[in-house]
Order: sequence, then structure tokens, then C-alpha cells
Amino acid sequence: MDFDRRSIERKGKTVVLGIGNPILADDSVGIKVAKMLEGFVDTYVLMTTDFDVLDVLFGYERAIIVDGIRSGDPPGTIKELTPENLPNVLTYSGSHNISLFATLKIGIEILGDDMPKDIRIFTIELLDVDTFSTDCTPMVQKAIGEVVERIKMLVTASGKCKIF
Amino acid sequence: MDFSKILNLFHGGQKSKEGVRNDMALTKIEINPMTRLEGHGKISIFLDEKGNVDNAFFQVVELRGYERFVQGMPIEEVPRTVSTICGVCRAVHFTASMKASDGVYNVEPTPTARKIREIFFNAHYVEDHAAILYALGFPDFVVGPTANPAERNLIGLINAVGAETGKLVLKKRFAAVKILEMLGGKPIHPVAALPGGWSKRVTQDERKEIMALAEEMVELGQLTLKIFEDVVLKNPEYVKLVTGDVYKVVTNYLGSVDENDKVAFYDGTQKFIDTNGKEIARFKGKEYLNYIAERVLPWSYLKMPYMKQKGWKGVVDGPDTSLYSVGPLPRLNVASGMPTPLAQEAYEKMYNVFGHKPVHNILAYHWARAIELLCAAENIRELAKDESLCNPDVRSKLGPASEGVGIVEAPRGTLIHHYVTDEKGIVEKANLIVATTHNKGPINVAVKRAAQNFIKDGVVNEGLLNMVELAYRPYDLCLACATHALPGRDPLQIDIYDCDGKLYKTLKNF
Repeated sequence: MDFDRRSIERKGKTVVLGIGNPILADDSVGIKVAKMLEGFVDTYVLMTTDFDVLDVLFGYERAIIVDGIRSGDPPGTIKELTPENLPNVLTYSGSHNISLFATLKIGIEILGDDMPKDIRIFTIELLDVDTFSTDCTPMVQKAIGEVVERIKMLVTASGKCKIF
Repeated sequence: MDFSKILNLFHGGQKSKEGVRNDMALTKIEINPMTRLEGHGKISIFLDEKGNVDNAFFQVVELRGYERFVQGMPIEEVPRTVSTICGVCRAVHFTASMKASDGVYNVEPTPTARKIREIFFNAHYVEDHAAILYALGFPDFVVGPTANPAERNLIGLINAVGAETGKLVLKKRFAAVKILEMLGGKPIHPVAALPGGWSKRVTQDERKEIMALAEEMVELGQLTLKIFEDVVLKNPEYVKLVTGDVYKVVTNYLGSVDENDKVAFYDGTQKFIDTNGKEIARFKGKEYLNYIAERVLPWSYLKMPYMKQKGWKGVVDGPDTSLYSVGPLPRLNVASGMPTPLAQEAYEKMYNVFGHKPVHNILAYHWARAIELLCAAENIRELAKDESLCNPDVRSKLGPASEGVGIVEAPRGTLIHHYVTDEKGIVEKANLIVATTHNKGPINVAVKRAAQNFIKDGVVNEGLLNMVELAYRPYDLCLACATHALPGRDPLQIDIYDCDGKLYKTLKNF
């Protein structure tokens, strides 16, 4: 019922989803990017990568997900990924640690055409996710502006040429 | 290696944790986490001279810094802040701290505000229980408990039951998400909590929408129980696994009941029963301090709660244990029934299958979870029928600020938030006891029992990781999930030590 109504409301639109924790220093980076794009495009924030991600993405034409990552790169490193080249983690030992890869794979298998046709994931390498703080460390903070600009360009281009 | 002697030396926290970590005699116990924030599970297993399990320890690292972080914060800000403790459990910390803020200002929510809060909280039950059952519980049975974890997950479940069923479940679960958004005042993360009330009224149109959504959720509850029946109860092997002794942990139980002794989620009296089902205590609010004690253990950052009246008896189960369990199965064990008719039918069926009460078989947690999902949906249906839900009285007049305790039955078990404030309502002290903390002792027993079953004479089966995971999955641990930075996995490492304390074998899921 509402699921279908939402699908109609979102048809042809782009959503930006920021994932992280707003008060754990660099982990807030995805949320900060989404907040800076409010008013420009539909935005959501989540603190989890479980089924809530599917509730957010369902029905949209395009989705851009922004999340922090710890892969060993220098802090602030920006990468642009697709669901296929996310870290391939399908195992989980509890409902709290279903990976973004697994959730997107589940969504694509179950929801099919109701999932966005294009999903891009921007990752930003984190430095500090231990400190209680609403601020990011300098190198990570610096990456926020660049990701915001890149997303704006993508969204603007998608409006003109209908690809992304 | 006489490990019990070493542990006894440190029981009671005679040495600080730092001291323990620096003690050369205990260097075999690994406490170093690989990562603090995604929640790190580490199991250390110690073998005796014959290569059989002498002891096993499940060590978790939990982010407890919130108790300090909220100090200096106005109590009315706390619900919005503690909802960031866990992205999954956000509504439960929000609700428990909101109830504590009622206590701080010595005020009861208005009848209308209470009804709104209850609908909100029950909606969280539906979405959370559904996620656990379909992501975690059913794959164990549909794909098989010993299947490769890469297949024993929701994708394996979808392969088995079909994408259409999966889509139907997701859509019906979304009804609960919609209610959370509608009442919470903001998508995903609620902001509507007020001491003594709720900041957002419900319109008649919204009430009617909630009624329609409740029907969807009741259907989800019925569908879920049917899947459980078809997949588990019609398979004799699985019935044997659920009702057998390998995954049985005999403890006392804690849960909340209403005035009719039925299961209560949002509010009630907290009730303890012993291992035979006999009631041994009831408490409310701050009285929890008289009944629950926490043991500092040398091998874990997480304290281990036990029943104060029974005294510390160690990490053992059985009739004399002072450990207790919380969560879906304990709630059903503690209560004399369910508050709603369809859930009551399912409750009676479950106990008929076991033939006794309390049930100590931990795989029945999933069955209880399915019954509770239906109950929560029925609760919402009943509450939404009441037109007074739209009354304007959503705020109470506040009294002077001091101290408050908020206790709710979170989906994973009893959750306690306790705050002391100054006269302006600024938090000075905070204490949080979450479900996974209550269950720490029983989880250790379950892990040890599984290890004893699958390590014999020094032979370590590679399938051990699966079988040990099966021992703690029913509890659906909420570790330090405050952050979900990619790649987003929950590492589990099993280190097995021989009788001389030398590392014998390591198994990892990462």
C-alpha cells in the first residue's frame, strides 16, 4: 500500500543517503554530506546498513550513498564504487551487522525494478571513529566539500541527459 | 592449566582491568579488540590435558562511553542523543530514556501521549523482530544450521522461499516503518519525545492510516508464524534441534508483565522467575538496584549481571544459578500469557509442543519472537481503534527535576536507563543496562556448551564456528554497533588454547 505509493512519488528522482553516526567524529561524514545537499535533492540519513536502506532506496530512479570506510588508505581518500565492487561481505552474525553489500544484493534480488537503476557509493576514508564529537578530523572534513560538489554535478547531469 | 584458579583470583574485581591485561599470568586471555566500534566478538576456548573443553569465554567490547557523554546534557535532549547508540535499536533507547525523563520530572505522560508512545514502540517491535527473524532466524532452518554462512543468510532464504515472498515481507514490514516515521516526527530518527508527553499529536486521518497499517502488520505476524510452522515444526529434525539439549541453557528469567500478568513491552512490572518457573521477585523503577548486581570480570570489559538475592554463583547454569536471561523467550516464560488473542493462541501452541514451562531451549527464542511480532501488531490495531488517540492532551505539567529510571522491554530484552540530574534537569550521572549485558552469562554458558559438543579429544571440527555462532545468534547481540563504517562485518575469532596455555588453533569468519 504505502510502499507502492512511495514508489510513485519517487519515480524518476534521485536520492542521496548518508550513513554514519552523527556524534562519533569522522563516522558522521556520510551524514554531513547528505545534510549539505538538503534542498538540492532528496536526502536521508541512516545509522545502519540493514533493511532500512531498502526502505530509503525503494522506488527511486537513482541513488547515491555516502559512507565512511576503513580500508587502510590515507584519511580523506574518496572512492566511487558500485554495488558490485563494494567489499563482498555476505556473512553476518546478527541483525546489526548486515553489510551494505548484502543489503543491496538482497534489495536487487527481491525488489528488482523497484530498486534504483543506478546506485553509486561514495566512500571517504576515516581516521577517528572513537571520539565523541560532531566534528570530523581535518583531512576527512576537507573531503566533504569535494564529495558534495561531485554529487551536485552528477545530479545536475542526470537532469539534463537522463543517465546520471 | 588450572584456569579456574586464575579466574577465582580475580573474581570480584580485586584487580583493575588494566592490571589484569598487564598481568603476565593472564597473557593467554586475549582482550585486545581488533576494532572497537563495529562490535568485536572474540571467543577463547581452553582445553584440558585430554584435549576436551575446560572452559570457554565469549568476550565482547561494548561502547559504554554514552553514560559519560550525556553528563552535562539537559535530560530532554537525551532521548535524541542515545538513539544514536545503535542504528537498529534507536527507538528503544529513545523510549527508555524518555520514560526516565518522566521520572526525572516526577510526571506521568497523559493518557493520549502514553497511547502514542505505545503504538510507536510496538511498531519498532514489528520492524525489528521481522528483521531478526528473516535475516537471522529463518535462514538457520531454511538453509540449514550447518550450512556455509555465505549461503546461510537472507539471500539463501530468498533462494529457498522465492523473491515474491521476500517482497511481500519487506512491504508489510514497511507498514511499521511508516508508523515510526509518522509518529516520531522525523524520518528514521525520532524526535518527538517530551518528558511527560509527546510533541506531535495524531490526526484522525493518521489514526485511520495506522489502523490500515496495523492490518498489514497482523498479516505479517500470521505469515511469519506460518513460515515458522511450515519450515520448522513440520520438519522432525528441526523440532529435535529446537527442543533438544545441545542448545539448552537453564537460567532464571526476567521480563515485564502487565496488571494481568501478561507480556508487557512498553511498561509494566519487572518479574523474576527461577529455573522452575516459580516467581521469586518483582520490582519497578529504581528498585532494580536491589535485585540486579553486576560482576566485574577480569576477561571482559562488559560486566556480568546476576541476581543479587542469590549471590554470585559463577558462570554456570542449572537450578542453583544466579544468572538470568532476558528477551523474547524469557518474556513468555515469565508471563502467564499474551495480552492479545491471536498471539495467545500461538503462545499456547508453543508451550504445548514443549510440554513444560519455562522453556530453556534457546532456539525457541525465534519462535517467541514470531509470537511477539504478531502481538505487537495486534497491540497497535487495538490502540488505533480508540478515537481518543487524537485528543490534544499530549503534555503534562512538569515537577522539579531530580532522578528517573526508564525500563522497557526492548526486542532483545529488558532495557534500563537511569539518570540523576540537578534541579535544572542537567544530567549528572547515567547508568544503562542493555539486553546483551543481561544475557552475557547465559551466552557464555551457551558458547561453552556448544564448544564442548564439537571439540572432542583435541579434534577441532572446522564447522565449529557455525555451531558456536548458532549458540549466540538467538540472542541477536547488540554489540557496539554505534558506527557502521564500511566494510561492515562483525568479526568473530575463536582462539583455542591447549592445557599449557599455548595457542592451538584459530578459526575466523573474516
